[in-house]
Amino acid sequence: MAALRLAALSTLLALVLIAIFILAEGLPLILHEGPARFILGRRWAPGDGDYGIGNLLAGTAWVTAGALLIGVPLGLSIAVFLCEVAPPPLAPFLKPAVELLAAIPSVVYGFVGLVTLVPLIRTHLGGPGFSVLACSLVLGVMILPTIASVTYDSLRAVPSAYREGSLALGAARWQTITRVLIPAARPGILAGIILGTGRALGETMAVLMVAGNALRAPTSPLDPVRTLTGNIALEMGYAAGEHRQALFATGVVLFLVIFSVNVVARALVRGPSGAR
Amino acid sequence: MTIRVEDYSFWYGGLRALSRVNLTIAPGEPLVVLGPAGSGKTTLLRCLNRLSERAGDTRQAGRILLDGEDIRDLDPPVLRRRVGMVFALPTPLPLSVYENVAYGPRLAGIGRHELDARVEWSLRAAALWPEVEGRLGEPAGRLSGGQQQRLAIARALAVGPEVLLLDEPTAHLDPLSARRIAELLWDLSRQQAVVMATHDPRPATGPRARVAFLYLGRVVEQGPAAEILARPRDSLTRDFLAGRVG
Repeated sequence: MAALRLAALSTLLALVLIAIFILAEGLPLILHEGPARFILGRRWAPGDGDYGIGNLLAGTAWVTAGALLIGVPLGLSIAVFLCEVAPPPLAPFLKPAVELLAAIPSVVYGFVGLVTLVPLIRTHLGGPGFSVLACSLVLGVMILPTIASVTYDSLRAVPSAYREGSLALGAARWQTITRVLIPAARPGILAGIILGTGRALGETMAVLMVAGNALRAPTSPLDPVRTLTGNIALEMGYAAGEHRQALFATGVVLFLVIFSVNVVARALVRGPSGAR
Repeated sequence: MTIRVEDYSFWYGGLRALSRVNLTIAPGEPLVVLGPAGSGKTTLLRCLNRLSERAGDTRQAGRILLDGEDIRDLDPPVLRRRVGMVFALPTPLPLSVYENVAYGPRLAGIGRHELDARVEWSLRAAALWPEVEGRLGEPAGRLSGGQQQRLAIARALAVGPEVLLLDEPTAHLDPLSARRIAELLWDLSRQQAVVMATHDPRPATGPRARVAFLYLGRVVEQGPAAEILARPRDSLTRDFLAGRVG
């Protein structure tokens, strides 16, 4: 029992140590620049001593929103299909296939996006191809297995008495799905979406390869974009001094964003879920 | 409205659950399908509204006619609005008391202005209105077991079914709640066709009731409840009623 307790505590310890480390490295610069100027500043020019991550935050928001726009409806549809519509012999094959998507290294997603999506977008939609759209498509597929898998498990956990109760009252299958099953599985579905959001916010490599990494805030899905994570990965190799601190400070903001998303998710999952 | 079950058999995969069943169900003559666990009572009820087909690998032979029309020719949601069902375990939908009852009528296209009246009528018919009148917005899961089962009856009635199927409706209830449900059913059976599956012969003794004794998927005998329960012709029925077969 003591060993198990120690194992559990080690997770907490790792989290606390990471938090302390990035705060210790990044907080001084945030305080020096002023939190508002650092977070809302639109100019990131380490050579001139300008460290505003506003455009990077906007880029991360664009890319994450785009990924959710693609990943959520697709992930929910896949889960509903697997759980409620797929013929029984098909589901046991399809679910592992969807889950396997999560096992593909992100660099592979990035590479596939780079050689297929980027030229496709450039040719057919215009712009440089490296864009919010390319990032969203790649990330949308990357967060699919998380959303689909958690939603599937939540739908499976809905008592079959709800299904039969609804069907026995004359509901068609799709009415039962939309009016009873999805509302009943809502906490789990939300958890899946939030987990997917966390993955989209934190993904670095795949995004880096298809984003174009321009420092401007995008104004259209076809514009190139740089995200918080991409910025850290791009510049950490050569950053020193204040510049290095600024990258850690970016990490602090990323950490807080993901932490907040998780807190909100927990509140939503625990909160009132209709009349239950 | 009459249901005729003609030479009807049903299989789950290779397992024959019903064997050449013949029955007639008419309003005013509540039918009690009596039999031990595993005799096919639930399967028979689920065949009457085609919920049985959800099991996947199933097969059937014979016919079930609803006013002369084969139920296989009816769209399942339409059939289930005409043939309502109450399950053994009262499980309200994860909605409020009001929304549970309004669920079916809303699907059937009943407008909002009619809905309140329909909900109240159904809850009164299920003898639940006085207890929930001020709690319509509460989650239905907060009602007691007996109240939840009456809610299940109310929500089935709200759709206006021509036949009401009840699968062991008192099995999970205390004796007082069970008696209230049984009395309610006999009242309801005056106006509409009612089929109740039960392994307990006691609720089968209502007025005008008919009993069909089912054993291993076969109707052993059927007739007026008073006659079958008092003077069973078949030794299997006798043994079941005497508690020697289960």
